[in-house]
Amino acid sequence: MKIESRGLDFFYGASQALHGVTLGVKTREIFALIGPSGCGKSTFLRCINRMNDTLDGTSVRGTLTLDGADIYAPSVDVVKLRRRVGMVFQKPNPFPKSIFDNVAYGLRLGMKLPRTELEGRVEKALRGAALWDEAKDRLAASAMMLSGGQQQRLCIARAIAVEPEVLLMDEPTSALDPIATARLEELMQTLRDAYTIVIVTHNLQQAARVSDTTAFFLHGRVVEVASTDSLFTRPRVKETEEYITGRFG
Amino acid sequence: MMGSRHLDSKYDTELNELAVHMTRMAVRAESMVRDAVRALLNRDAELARAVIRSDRELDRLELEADEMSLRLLARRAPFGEDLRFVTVNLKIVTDLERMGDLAVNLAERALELMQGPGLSAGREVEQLGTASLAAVSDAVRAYQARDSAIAREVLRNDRNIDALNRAAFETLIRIAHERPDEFGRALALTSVCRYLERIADHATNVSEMVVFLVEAEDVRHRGLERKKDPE
Repeated sequence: MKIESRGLDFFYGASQALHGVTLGVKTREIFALIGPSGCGKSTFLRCINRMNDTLDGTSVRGTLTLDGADIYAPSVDVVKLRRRVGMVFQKPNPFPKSIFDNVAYGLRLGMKLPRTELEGRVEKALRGAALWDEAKDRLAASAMMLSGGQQQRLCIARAIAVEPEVLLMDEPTSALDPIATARLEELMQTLRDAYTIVIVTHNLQQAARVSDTTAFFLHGRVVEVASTDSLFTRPRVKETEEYITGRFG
Repeated sequence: MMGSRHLDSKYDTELNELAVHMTRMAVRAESMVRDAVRALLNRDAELARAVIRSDRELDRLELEADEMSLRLLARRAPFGEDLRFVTVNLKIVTDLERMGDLAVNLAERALELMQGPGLSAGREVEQLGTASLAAVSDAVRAYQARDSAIAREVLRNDRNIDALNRAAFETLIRIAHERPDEFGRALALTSVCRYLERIADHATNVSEMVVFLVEAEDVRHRGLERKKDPE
């Protein structure tokens, strides 16, 4: 398993958001987290690269490992962890800089790369994010000039420029139109050759389309984890069935 | 359907409309088979002609059912039991429509056979007709009640129907050999047996779909090796 969670509890102060989350994400699979708002899926996602650490009063119990090593061990360098575990957010959030500088941003942090190597890495990342053809002639232009879909692919380019192993995606297409969404979903299928992807989505069709495995969260607990084919055609648990078919008990 | 309702009540209405429509079609197909068997056994020409006339109505119901299912797939993108329900209906309509066609074939053969005296193989054909009709009725009942136990019973009984068909066929071949004057009529009756056996096969298909709908288990082609679920 690339990522393994065993009995993971998470607290915002006294409020418990995750209850004994146990699941495993295989290397180079697309793993979808689904569930109603407030079910804990984004909290779990943000545990994987310790984004929740930025909030005061949070605490974790249980085990969460990346390649078998405890993500929450005191010795873990969080900056290095986030290089290995990149993140793409709900709304495209390019920096108010050029397209080139956005992608080069992570590479310049803590690394002194020769200009030619930097340019090569930026091109590789933009190609990897399927944005090169649209951006190669305007690398110095502001990232803010790009469309929403292009900005989200730029954020993916920025994330993969530092060559992470895992990509976390928190509703990455919720602000995009259907065409930009389709392009991003197609991109995800390409990215899976090199990365392990964990995606939170409210769009059940999207989870069904893009992922290999799906976990259904409810009230901070994992109700069911199954192959996506199986979960969307013959869920084992009543709560999963009710959620994916849009029913209430 | 499940006891709980959808958050969008119009979705419930659309699924219920499809269920009612499918039931209407299933009951129509069953009554066509029943009337065709009765027409054959009771030598009732009027009933046979009524079966032939009613086929158009079954064809119309098939087209409407397909349209309703496609609309649900396109507009609702169903999952779970709803997905199984819609896709199962798309398959079942074909079986019901074929049952209707075979009932028409049966009625046409019945009309031909009424031109002459009865055959001594009547008992075997009657047994096969009764068994096929029971399979259809049970399959329709299983579908209406979403009862996979009844459906599994139909699947188990299919072997008996095959055996009845073989027995009737052997008797008819023997008659054709022994009584050359009965050759043509014996041959027509072998067609009748084939229709009845095929009708039962369609009842089996419907029953397999009911098991899939209710239990999410695909019981078709049991001998085939299945691709394992990557879990």
